[in-house]
Amino acid sequence: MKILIVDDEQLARQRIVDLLSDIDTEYIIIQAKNGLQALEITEKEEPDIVLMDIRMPGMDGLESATHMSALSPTPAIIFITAFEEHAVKAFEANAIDYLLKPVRLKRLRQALKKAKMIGLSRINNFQEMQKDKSSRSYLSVSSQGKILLIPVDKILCFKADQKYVTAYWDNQQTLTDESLKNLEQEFSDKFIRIHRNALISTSHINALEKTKDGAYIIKLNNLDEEFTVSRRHIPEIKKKLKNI
Amino acid sequence: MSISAIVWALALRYFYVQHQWRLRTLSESEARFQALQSRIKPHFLFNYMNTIASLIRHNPSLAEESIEDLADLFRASLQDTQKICTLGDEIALRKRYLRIEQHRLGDRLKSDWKLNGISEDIPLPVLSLQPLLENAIYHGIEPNPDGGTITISGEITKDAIVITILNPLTTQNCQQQKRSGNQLAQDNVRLRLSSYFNQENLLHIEQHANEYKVTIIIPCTQ
Repeated sequence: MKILIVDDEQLARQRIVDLLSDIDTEYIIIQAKNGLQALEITEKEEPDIVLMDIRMPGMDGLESATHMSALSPTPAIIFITAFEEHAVKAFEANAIDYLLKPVRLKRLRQALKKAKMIGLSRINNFQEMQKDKSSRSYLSVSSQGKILLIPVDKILCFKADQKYVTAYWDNQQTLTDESLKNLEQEFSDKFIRIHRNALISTSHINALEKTKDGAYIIKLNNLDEEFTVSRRHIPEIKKKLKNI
Repeated sequence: MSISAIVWALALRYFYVQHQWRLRTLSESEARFQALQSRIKPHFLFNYMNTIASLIRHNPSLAEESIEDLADLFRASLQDTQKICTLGDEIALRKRYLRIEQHRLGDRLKSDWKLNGISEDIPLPVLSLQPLLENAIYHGIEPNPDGGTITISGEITKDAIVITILNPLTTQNCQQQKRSGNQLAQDNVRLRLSSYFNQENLLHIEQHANEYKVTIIIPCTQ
């Protein structure tokens, strides 16, 4: 059995390592320092179980778990937390188990048993938990069991073309299976709707210009393409730009 | 006519004073409640217990020392918040607190104390620095994978000692800084400073793109 321990504190990881080796010396134990590293390692090493802290720098445990559920095989995720009231509530419905720090040997043993019983390939419904939380810092796109992470801060815009939404970022264009409507809601502090088929990152706007025939277009930093602004979105965009 | 105006004015004044008085008792009890809450973050306590649990196997003597430090810190935090201590006492305790956090966060936490030449026998309310340092770690160091340096510096002006606590910010924790709890601790310190020194505006906050600065002013007569 391969187990990944994720915590930003070295001594906290050490404690779990100690407890695991008390339970079974045969476990293969790997470690990660934050949610992002945990994802990379999970993809490469395919652990059966992930024991993960929630509050971590960079990418937290909840977000990491969300992205992990797109991987196959999906590891069983057990959260470990010091003190997070509302998070604890959220787990009751969704996670395989959650443990409180300092973790007791008995509880850890129970949790591992539960993970085995439920089956290691269980898909956790972390998207639901994510809803109560702040918006994601990365979007994940999966293909053939691999994950591509796109930092939301680097995304210039989303464009919808019939069914598909394309994210423009870092001179790349990536197809996602997210809907414009959900993206607009989740990232309302970072993106604005300028057209039925486009969301634009407010921090990447270079200029809002009026063309000769009275229409408005938006230019973005580091992107040649111009975006037409639909008439009904103009007042709101002007208001938002003023506040920046 | 003028008599009735005077009577009205007196009545209004009476209600106004009574209203003010009610507001004040309300805010006093609220302050007391907040003081209780701002003493020690449960987040810190549980994480630290976990650190000690881990140390017991690998470094028992450090585990022992850590429990002693934690006991001192906890004892201090249970003091009556109306109590007065010296700046020297407060600084000694806060250094102990940072030592505790150092075990937990390792290399990610660096601290820089620049308090040379600051007189240590200046009186101030107990726990004036603790909540601010806790915030600096919680919002400035923990959210950053590489950590950072907390700088505590002191400056002597004509009629006060000015203590500044500086922590780095990443774009991510700019948003988190607004989270609840932060405000509560700052308000509590502000309130206690102004009620002890009988002076307003003794705590200032400055947020820049990549740093967060809290300044407290300790008036002194020398």
